[in-house]
Amino acid sequence: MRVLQLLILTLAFAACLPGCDPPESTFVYNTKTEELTRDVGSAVKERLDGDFGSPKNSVAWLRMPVDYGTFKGEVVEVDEDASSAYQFRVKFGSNGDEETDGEDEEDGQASPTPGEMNLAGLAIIWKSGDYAGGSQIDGGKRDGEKLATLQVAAWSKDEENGEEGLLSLRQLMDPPPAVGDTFEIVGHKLSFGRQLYAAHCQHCHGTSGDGAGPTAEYLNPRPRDYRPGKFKFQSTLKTNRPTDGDLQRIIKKGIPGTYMPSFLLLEDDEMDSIVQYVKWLSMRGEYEIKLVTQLYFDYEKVVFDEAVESALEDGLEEFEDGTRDEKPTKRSIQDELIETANADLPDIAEQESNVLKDAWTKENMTVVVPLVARTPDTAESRARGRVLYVQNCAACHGATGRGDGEQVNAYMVNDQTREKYPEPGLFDDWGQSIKPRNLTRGIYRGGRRPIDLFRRVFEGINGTPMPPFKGKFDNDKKINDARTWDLVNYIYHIPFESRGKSAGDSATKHGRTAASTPSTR
Amino acid sequence: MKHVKVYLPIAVAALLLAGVSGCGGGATDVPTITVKPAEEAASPSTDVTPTNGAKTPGVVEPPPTTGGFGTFMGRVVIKGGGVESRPALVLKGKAALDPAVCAATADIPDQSLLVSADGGLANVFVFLKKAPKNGKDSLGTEAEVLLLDQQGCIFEPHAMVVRTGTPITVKNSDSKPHNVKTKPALGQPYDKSLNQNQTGELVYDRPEPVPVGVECNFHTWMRAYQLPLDHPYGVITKADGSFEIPNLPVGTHQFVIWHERSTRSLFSRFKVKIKSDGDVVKETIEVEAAKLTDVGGAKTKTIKLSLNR
Ligand code: HEC
Ligand code: HEC
Repeated sequence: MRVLQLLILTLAFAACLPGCDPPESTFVYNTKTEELTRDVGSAVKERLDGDFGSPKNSVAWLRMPVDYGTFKGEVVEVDEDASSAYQFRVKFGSNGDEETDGEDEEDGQASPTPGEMNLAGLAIIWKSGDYAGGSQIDGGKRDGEKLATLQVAAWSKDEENGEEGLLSLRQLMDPPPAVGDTFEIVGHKLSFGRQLYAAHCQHCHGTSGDGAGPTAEYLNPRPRDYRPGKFKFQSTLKTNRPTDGDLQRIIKKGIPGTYMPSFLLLEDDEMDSIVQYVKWLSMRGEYEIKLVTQLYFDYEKVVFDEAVESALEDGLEEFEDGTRDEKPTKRSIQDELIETANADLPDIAEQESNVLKDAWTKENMTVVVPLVARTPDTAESRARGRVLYVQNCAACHGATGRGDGEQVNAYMVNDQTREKYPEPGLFDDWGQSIKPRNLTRGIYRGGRRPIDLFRRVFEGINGTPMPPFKGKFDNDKKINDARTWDLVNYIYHIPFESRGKSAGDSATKHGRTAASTPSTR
Repeated sequence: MKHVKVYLPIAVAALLLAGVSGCGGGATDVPTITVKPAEEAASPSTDVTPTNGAKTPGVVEPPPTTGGFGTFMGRVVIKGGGVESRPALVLKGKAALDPAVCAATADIPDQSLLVSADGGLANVFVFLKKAPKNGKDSLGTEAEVLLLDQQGCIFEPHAMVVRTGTPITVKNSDSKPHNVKTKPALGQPYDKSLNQNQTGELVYDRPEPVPVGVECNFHTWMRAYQLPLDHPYGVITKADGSFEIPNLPVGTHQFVIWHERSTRSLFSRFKVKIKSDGDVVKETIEVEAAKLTDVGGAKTKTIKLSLNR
């Protein structure tokens, strides 16, 4: 045993060492992407890199509903004699109000100013003047796409006037911008989010948000892999994404009973940037999964090679009976098939990015709100809850709530492979073994407010076998919600319930079945 | 193992410190940001590949379709005859959960491999990925009402093809709770718990590349497969392995032939040529028995195909 303990400690410290190298600043690709035939795999990676970039060179893709952070500014002074310029004086905050193009909805609010913030590396896009639209910017193209690639080198705020200062760029503007030209500096939240994420989250959640940071393998449950776009503890419908508020809550409060720490000390702007970064990572991850899913069944290596073989046979036949002029070769057939994939990819990318955009758009999310107020926590209400519990929950959570129902011994099928999992018990959509919560402990990962428990029962827990119970307790929606509150009242009572006695009985102090056993997390 | 767990938090705390102390220098790594507009400007340089309609080099354009429709029919059979039938999933009276309802009067059979006496394979999905050119909007053979029932802790029917947007009524005919949960690869998942005689409406919003697994989380053996398509050209083989797809426009089609017990599609591009109006293409599609033991076979070989790793 000793040896094992030592081993773990040494391992843990050893794991620090790679952490002291500059952390890898590349995103890893999905295994399924790697399983595509090489050329198609590279095309997917190129797409992904063009649309999201890397941790070091990140792309703020404006199609995605991420708040990358914007500062609006205006040029106030340029060296008059210069035919080109790296730097000029600018003023932040109050510009652009006159020529509102109707798109800016937050007009009422004062536009934020960067203050002392380090703006290095952020993108600058021109909103008015000769450079507007980015079309005249020479360096403004990458991979043939029109991009505003001008970046800020430095920003130094005037001592006396907080809104004005000297802005220098990494690229030369030739000719210089004109006084009065307006611009936006985009991406401070993405940049700040990346830096904070690297410092606080990455060692668990991984650079790519794949839940596989260096610490991850020591943890149970594993840190969340954001890439499938699924989150367990949200206020929204099961099929929705979480709101920014949901993510903030989880990060602020942590997940009790797991290694997900609480980050209470983050400032509001830090929190906001981290949330945007987590969303961005999730979108990148899901985008990749969706692109690959659309191609996988035709272009996975084995399938592709088979397809080439049979197409070659057909091709040779066609050549023989004159419906094909050129005698096909394996290479020419491969090229033909890959060309089809390349021709499809832009449409697939368009489609999947729009689906993602809609999914993460706030207006498309529905927050679960009970139709009736919480039923008073009476013995009668708990007793009604207990009846529902036995009918609906005991199969997983066990008759006494210890998380030991029959399902713990059942074998689930892994939906990805269509094979039974080798071990019994429940698994979540990430393929991790999970247990129905031990409800006698009174520890709730998704929050312990009544509304949190209401939502867990009403919508189930996304990405896990715990199903939603909305509408199940009664066909009348209001009665159903009242029954759900009964169940919530009962859940709160379980830790105090002595074993074998029913909820109607009074709570005994000795009833905490878990109190004597140490928490195993 | 309990002792180990005590040390685990220490190890983790050490790791945490390592992360937070920023010894990696990663925290000071300031990224460079590039902006990509929401709408791609019509830039010719992105498409180096020929757009639709362009000629693939070396291929003589097929003669323009003369119109008309043919039929693709036949059977899917196991090569070399029958295979051993699968043992029952749940023996009569032996259900761990809800034995009064599940397998109460008979065994629950394993429907993942249903082979007729003469080797015909049931529940094989035969379909086109995309609607064919000049196709019809209906084969004229589709069921009018789609119902997915849960009775005796079995999904009925086990396999189904459905059009996107068309509702399937899901129902619980048992006196114990069930839920119906779908796990589509592309579209919106569905999950609903049901009391006896409650119903729900399951609608697929997107076509899927392969059939979608349907499960009940109360009874883990319960499984069904449903394939949503945005066109009518998909069918399921009957108990004797036979199938028929009428109204197939003249031209060449590539069918996907898929069965739940094979990790990959049995055929990903099964070529069918309808030469002229009224043409009937009849095929006996032979499947190696070995291909069908890929999944959930006796040997617990784990094939990691998870999208998430
Ligand atoms: C010590 C490891 C660790 C660190 C550090 C950590 N997390 Fe986590 N995180 C976890 C674990 C473990 C879970 C999964 C808990 C579960 O499944 O119940 C998780 C889950 C999450 C979730 C998913 C919540 C849901 O509803 O599904 C989010 C979002 C998240 N973490 C964000 C962050 C952010 C942002 C940071 C950095 C500020 C961070 N985490 C730092 C371990 C960590
Ligand atoms: C199919 C099995 C299953 C059924 C049925 C089920 N649960 Fe769960 N439940 C789970 C699992 C698994 C978890 C843990 C999910 C996780 O965090 O990964 C869970 C977690 C919970 C939690 C903890 C939420 C939190 O924030 O930590 C509560 C409360 C809960 N279930 C209540 C219920 C109630 C009430 C019912 C019946 C109406 C029910 N469950 C039915 C499997 C089930």
